Amino acid sequence: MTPLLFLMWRSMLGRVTGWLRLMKQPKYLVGTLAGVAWMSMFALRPVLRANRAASLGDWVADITEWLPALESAGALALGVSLSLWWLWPFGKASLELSETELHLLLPAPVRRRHLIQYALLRSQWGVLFGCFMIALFSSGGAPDRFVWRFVTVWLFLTLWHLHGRGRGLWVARLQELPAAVAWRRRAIVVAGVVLVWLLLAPGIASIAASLPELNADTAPALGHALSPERLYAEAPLLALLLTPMRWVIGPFFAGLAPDTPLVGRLASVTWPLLLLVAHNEWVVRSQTLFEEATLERARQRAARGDAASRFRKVRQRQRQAAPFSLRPTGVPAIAIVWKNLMLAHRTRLALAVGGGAAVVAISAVVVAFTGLPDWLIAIMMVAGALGLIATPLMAGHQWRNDLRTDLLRIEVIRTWPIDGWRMFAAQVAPPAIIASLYAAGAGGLLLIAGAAAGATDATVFVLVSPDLAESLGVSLVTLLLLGLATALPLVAAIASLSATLQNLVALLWPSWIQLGQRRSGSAAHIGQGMLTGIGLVLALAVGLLPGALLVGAWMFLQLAVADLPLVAWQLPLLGLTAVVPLAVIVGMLTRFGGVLWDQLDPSVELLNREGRS
Amino acid sequence: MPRRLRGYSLPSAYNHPMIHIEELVKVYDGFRAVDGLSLQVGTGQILGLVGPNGAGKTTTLRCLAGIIPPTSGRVTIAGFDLQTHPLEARKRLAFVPDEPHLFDHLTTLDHLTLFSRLYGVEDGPARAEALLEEAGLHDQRLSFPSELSRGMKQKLVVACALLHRPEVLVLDEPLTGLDPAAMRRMKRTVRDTATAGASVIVSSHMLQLVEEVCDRVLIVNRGKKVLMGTLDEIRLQFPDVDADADLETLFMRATGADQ
Repeated sequence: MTPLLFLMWRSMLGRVTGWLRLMKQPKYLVGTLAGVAWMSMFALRPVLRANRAASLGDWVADITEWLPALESAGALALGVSLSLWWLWPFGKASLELSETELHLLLPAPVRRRHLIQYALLRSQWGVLFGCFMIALFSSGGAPDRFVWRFVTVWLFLTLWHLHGRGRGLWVARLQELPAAVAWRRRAIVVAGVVLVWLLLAPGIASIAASLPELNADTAPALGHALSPERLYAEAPLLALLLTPMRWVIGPFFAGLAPDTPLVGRLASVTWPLLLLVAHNEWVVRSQTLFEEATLERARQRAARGDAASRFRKVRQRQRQAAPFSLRPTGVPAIAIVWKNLMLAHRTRLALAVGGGAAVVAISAVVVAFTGLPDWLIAIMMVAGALGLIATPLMAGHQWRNDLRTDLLRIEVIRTWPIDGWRMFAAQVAPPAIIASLYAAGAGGLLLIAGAAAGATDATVFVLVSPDLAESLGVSLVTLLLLGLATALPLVAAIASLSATLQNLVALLWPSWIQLGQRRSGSAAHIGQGMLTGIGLVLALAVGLLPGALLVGAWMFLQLAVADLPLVAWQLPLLGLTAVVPLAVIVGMLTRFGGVLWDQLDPSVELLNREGRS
Repeated sequence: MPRRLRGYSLPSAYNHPMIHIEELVKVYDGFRAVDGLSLQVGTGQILGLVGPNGAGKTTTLRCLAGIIPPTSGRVTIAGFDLQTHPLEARKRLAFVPDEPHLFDHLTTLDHLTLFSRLYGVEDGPARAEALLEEAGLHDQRLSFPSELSRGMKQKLVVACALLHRPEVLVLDEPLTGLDPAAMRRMKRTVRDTATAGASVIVSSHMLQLVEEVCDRVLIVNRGKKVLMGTLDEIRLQFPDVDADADLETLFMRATGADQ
């Protein structure tokens, strides 16, 4: 095991050294400081905000009286999940090892159980980071609460992970056995699980029948109904089965109850720790042939990075389609827009816009006569409004058909004869265009819902209402149309801003950016998401404020000074007024992105990057 | 006897170099990858760039192609300084990297359509068809890179590079992973491109290829120029070697690898 521990230690040291080396560059140092400052806001919240609003940590602390019921429900949910998991007859004997590790370590004179242990320990990085984030966000800044949450969440996640690996290895082991033996073992497990739940059914039914109605005052009654003592009395078999589940989740709940003494808390982790040791032994002593499945998993992970396999499925006819025809001469940057739009879809833009508009128009006309159920109108309105608002904000996060993908081909794109700012603008445009199209689709949904609402007595309205339409002297559908005409330029500007920020981050901190189409939940990626999220909020605030002031000034002059009423037809013009400052900001950031592109030295951060495909 | 190196005389156009590198230095991460390298390549010439691993060949070519900025020094393509007139320089240049980097979601034909527009090739569609035919990729015109063999990908990268009739062609390890037939085609392509008037730089570890295809050779080691000239000129630097010593022998002597 020593060489493997040495390998882990050196790998960690290498990562830390690489990270520290990056800190020599001011931009990475500033980025790190910004990230640390942001994270510190969570740790220092109690100090920073004396009269703070209820945080997640406080909310968790306020649910004490619900704890017995929640603990029982949690144990039951865990039991059901594990049962279903074991009923599923498929699994792979894969461990979390990279292709390089497999090729180097499998032929080496390393004991099998040590290799499995190494793979398990290696997967702990992700678990530890997850625990850190959960503890940080849920502890409300209290150090003791943070430590306890970290420990208990770690226990739970590690046990879950070990159980999953053990089950996968066990199921995969069946495939190595003679078919008859394998089926017999499967049948025994399935029969066992079914039998246990059949035996438990009367107890569950009895407990369920005695549960009180859910309302604000039922916490104590519910807690009593689901208390371990009552479960032991009324359904002893169920209580017995849930005991190991309680051991697993018990420490977490012990930490939620403010009056649990430290000794009690520490005692509560004894059983989960024993379970953890037992699980670990179960997994590392497995005799399943994991090598092939692990290699396959490593290859699949690598293949997902470049997403090449996805395009093999495209039909021959579709391969000739493109968002628009690209003539051989003209503005070169358009070629990049063309290329990157195709990364998302090959549908013709004119067809998408025209066809989408036709579908919306026809649907609106039809539902204006037929009407729709009230609940469906409500769902469509909520979905439409959410899509219209969230899609542009998420544009940069959702679609990565920009520099984040093209930087993988830096040796190709860098030689193209295109100005820096045009290159940057062409990279930003595709995600913004696609987000705008999706947002327009959401707006269309809103329009159809509005048309249906006009035909019925709908009561739920989002963003617009018949009263508002009446006060502006137009019909609801006209108001919706004008609203869309107002919103769409704003949507395009916000989507552009969102994509611009993501691409700026890619150019400013290329070493931190995950390149390619795949998004991952890695620590770096989450950190990046947080930073760009803050950047987007700040840039939106800066960009929208002048627009809001302009619109406000206009309204003041019209309504208060000139005493002219607001008419619906003004809305698109007001929207454009709000868009102008945003467009200016996007333009300035694009110029800045162009400068960054021109000055980018990809020698170390991109060309010599580890794992570049 | 290799076709070009033996008894090759410099063309008159050599007086007007298409590629001009002057005192090129590239330092990254504290490492001096290229250290004061200067070279010139004239119209129709093929220069072979050879050196041991880590000698700075790829870094030199990347600086020449404008992929990475030099720490100091000057690179001129067809008279255009890469730092002050990057677009004019890039329009005249084509770079074929050591790995065939293609876009996963674009078909073979899409790649050529893209490059037509990027470089404003007026007869782009016709030239694309001709290049596809020449490269034997016509049947793969609607294939994605993941459906092409390594050799086919390399051919496509070269076709994209040649589409705009570059005045300067830079190839980094162009024969890596190619089968013998594809190697022969690649060598012919390099020669034909130079014959058509382009200046070519080829970096390779395959010394036989360099000997066979290139007019002159530049041997680099640890980022510095060790020797440059025709094979005969290089031989003159080592009076103790045989008169018909091949490039491999000369390379070993020049880089000290034979000691």
